[in-house]
Amino acid sequence: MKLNLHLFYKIIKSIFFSSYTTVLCLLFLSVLVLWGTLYQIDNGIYAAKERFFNSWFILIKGIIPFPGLRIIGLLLIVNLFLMFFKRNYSVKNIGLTIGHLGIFIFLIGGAIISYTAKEMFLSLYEGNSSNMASSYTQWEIAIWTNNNTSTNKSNNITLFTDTITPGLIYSLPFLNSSIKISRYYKNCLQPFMSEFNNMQLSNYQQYQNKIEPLETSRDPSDNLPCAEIEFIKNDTVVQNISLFGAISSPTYIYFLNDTIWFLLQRKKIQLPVNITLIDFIKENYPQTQMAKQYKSIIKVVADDLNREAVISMNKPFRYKNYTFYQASFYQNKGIESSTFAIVENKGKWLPYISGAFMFLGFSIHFIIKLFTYIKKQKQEKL
Amino acid sequence: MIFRFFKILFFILTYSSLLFAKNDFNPNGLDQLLILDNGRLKPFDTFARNFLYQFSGKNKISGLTATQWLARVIFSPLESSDDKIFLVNNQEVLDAIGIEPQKRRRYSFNEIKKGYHKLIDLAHSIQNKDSKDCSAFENEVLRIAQNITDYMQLSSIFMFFMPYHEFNIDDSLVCEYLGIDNKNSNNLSFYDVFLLSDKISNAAKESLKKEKSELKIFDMYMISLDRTIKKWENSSGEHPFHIIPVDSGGNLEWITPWDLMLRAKSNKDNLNLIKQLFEIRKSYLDKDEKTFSKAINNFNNSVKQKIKPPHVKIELIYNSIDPFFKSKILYLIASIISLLLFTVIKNRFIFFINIFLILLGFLFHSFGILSRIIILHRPPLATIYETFIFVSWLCVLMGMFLEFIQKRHLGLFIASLCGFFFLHLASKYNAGDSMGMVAAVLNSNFWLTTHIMTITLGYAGCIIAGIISHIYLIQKLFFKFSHIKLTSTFSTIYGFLCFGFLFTLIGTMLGGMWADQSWGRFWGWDPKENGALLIILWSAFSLHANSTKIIKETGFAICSIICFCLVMFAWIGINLLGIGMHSYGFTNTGKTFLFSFMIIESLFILLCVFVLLFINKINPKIFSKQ
Repeated sequence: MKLNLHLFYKIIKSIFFSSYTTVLCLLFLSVLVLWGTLYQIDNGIYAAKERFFNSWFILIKGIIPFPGLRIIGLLLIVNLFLMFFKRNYSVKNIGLTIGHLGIFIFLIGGAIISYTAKEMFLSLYEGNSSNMASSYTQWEIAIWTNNNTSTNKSNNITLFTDTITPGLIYSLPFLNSSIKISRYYKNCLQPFMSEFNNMQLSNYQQYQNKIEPLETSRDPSDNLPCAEIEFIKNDTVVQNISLFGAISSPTYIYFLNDTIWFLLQRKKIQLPVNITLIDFIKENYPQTQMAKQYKSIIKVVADDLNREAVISMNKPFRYKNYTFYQASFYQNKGIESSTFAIVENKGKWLPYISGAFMFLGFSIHFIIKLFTYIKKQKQEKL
Repeated sequence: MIFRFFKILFFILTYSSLLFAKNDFNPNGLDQLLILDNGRLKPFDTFARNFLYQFSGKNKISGLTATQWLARVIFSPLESSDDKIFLVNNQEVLDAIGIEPQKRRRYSFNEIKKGYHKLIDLAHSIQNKDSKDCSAFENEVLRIAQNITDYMQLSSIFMFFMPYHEFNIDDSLVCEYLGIDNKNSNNLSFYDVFLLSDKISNAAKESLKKEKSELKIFDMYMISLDRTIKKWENSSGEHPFHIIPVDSGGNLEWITPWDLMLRAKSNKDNLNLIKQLFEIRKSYLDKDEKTFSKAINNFNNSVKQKIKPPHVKIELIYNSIDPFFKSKILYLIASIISLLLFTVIKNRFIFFINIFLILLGFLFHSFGILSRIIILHRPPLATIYETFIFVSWLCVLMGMFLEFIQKRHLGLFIASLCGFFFLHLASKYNAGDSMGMVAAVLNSNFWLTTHIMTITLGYAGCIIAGIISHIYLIQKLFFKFSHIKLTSTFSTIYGFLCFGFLFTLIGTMLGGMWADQSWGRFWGWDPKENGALLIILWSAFSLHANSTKIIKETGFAICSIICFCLVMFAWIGINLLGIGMHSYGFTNTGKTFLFSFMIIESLFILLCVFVLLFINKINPKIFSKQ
């Protein structure tokens, strides 16, 4: 037993306590980054991220394992941490120590951010306001009624499509009925928008069988899903409903005294602030269509905040852990809308802190070394 | 004696462009005319150079300077339509549009005009294709069609001053009514008639009221003149020649002569300006240099009163000196001398000449960069062309610094070689207008300076380390240099790689911060980001592997050559991939260069490994320490 423990310790030591591990990790990481970059040419950035940079292992040809970013990163963090005990803490090496501390913070920060940061977006027309952002990739089916008798919140339900399994039955307690998702596709052919504007329910019927799945897009935010729902009361199917991701107005059916609304939409995320778009401005270079600056003037209202702010390219608006960026815009016949990318990030300052450490540490080290070298050269001359 | 030699050299370099210019009509002052083009106010000289380069790939054509050439195009188009300016790289295009190919590569407008309709039809059929899917032939068709269209727009800028047959008047009564001299009545232009258009349209209205049988020749003239004028008025002239600042609702709008012409009737100032333009053109056609320069200076002054004039003088000097070309040549000469100094010759006099050549090149180089900063009001780091120039400048600076501390001629060799190499590479990326405006996301002088400056410093460090590694390997494997000399070379490699690592790291962190500020994420595995990361990882690998003695000096030198390759990949290669968010840098230039560069470097490394493994084994004495 004792021997085994000793052996175990030896193995652990030789793996984590060794600078050979660092070298090997860096080599593997270089290969991984190069490979992941070239992989993007044919497969797009999202697939490359999933396969190389958000994974523990990559299987080459489905058989041979190659370490993914997570495992190399973890190994590097542990290795770097343990190497702090082995370090030579002389004044001469102070720069290196500080720099490596920066890298350690950076790696930890990177891990925290990659697990916790959430990305979403918010599109607003001028004059409109909202406190709900949308997810890029996740979708939900919202079902609600607005009967005259009650307006409380319990008469609605939201199903997240990530958790939907076609064939299962979901109950709608506020209607004493249930629905069954008979089909759901992540990406499918969308009917032309103009055909659907203000369309009556009866017209939807002709699209019942038109649900046509497509191959999922390279960039998952481009996917437009569709779903087919059966509305069930007392074990009989009352109505079939088709929902399409590209249709932003809800579909409704009449049932007894109620109107029931259905909407397949990007998952809504509650923001801690209410944003009103006052004005969107696109500045061009004189006499060209080339943009010089995009700018949105917004009004922000929160518990502790009520003021105007400007979001422009390279100048985001920050509130608590949320940051709002100018992402895109829409201009047509005097109607203007602006889209903000929103990131909720708890560790957003970590890269800045670690960057400062690296800069300071390695610069000190480099300068010390440079002066030593110059001194040596002069001595040699003499 | 030496000083006289340098004086002469300097003069030749500075004024060589003037020596070879033919003494055609010299449009003095025209080169300073301000034009708003592509979002920037630029002098006529730059404007002309851009177009001439775009059409012909040259800065001069048949002895004419760009300004002289463009003056001819806009003032007297017929004369210029025989200038052989359209570069055709692909003979198949000529076959396709039915023009007999000649032995030369440049064709005149008159020659291409014969196949114009076929060319435009061809271009239309390709136009909607994604440029990535276009073949070389199709790209060439699009390029030539674009050039021909641009040329036609340029040549029609002053069309309203040119006589047009539909304005001919053969009737004395009409001439009398309009107050036109009988002698000129067959040479009338839109400009002549348009100023009288109120008179004409009134008369035409009266004439139209009459019965058909009552119509006389006078009435017929009035009606047809009125129609032709209306037709001309409604044909909008899209000319890229915005030279007249006009106040429109508080903002300064720059309009073309054609727009000015249409506005001249209602506004006296505009009428005066049009008359000035007429005067300029007339004196050009009369070959009256004095009147011409007087008229153009008057016009320039009237424009300058309305705006805060940009640094035209600096731009003109920049254009005429062509600083980067000159420093490139100087670096080339210097690099040959440095190589000789580094290897065989030991001569103090040549050494000083060499230093002088490099310093002179560096002076031109710095002047070029500085004037770009002044002209563009931004750090000269926004395009790939500019980064090449800047890295080249940094390499020269670092090389001189190395020479200052080491004094082994290695620094001078590196300085001149890198200077020449990257300036030459930059010239490949210069397609016409190198002073364009930058995309909105790049429009931030703070980040441009900090991020790109540091990352280019890092690139420069890695590049120099890579180049010295070649020297080190050659010294060690093929020439068996002494241990002391080798150690000295090696420490230089090590130092520069550390420098490159440090600045690439800082630059990448700064880039992450910029991305965090403008795109909302610090890191997104975008190809350009990965490229920089790759350099960092690889140099970190090399440094750690060296400090743990996994690789020794030779291995480290090979690693830094690989690092050099990675720099070129991150710098040029990523733009070729055409993916990712750094789309403002995409280009197709450099494909062949990068490819051949990688192959040559791989061969070199293989050769070194071969020598190291086999020859070393067979005869270990060769490489034993001396």
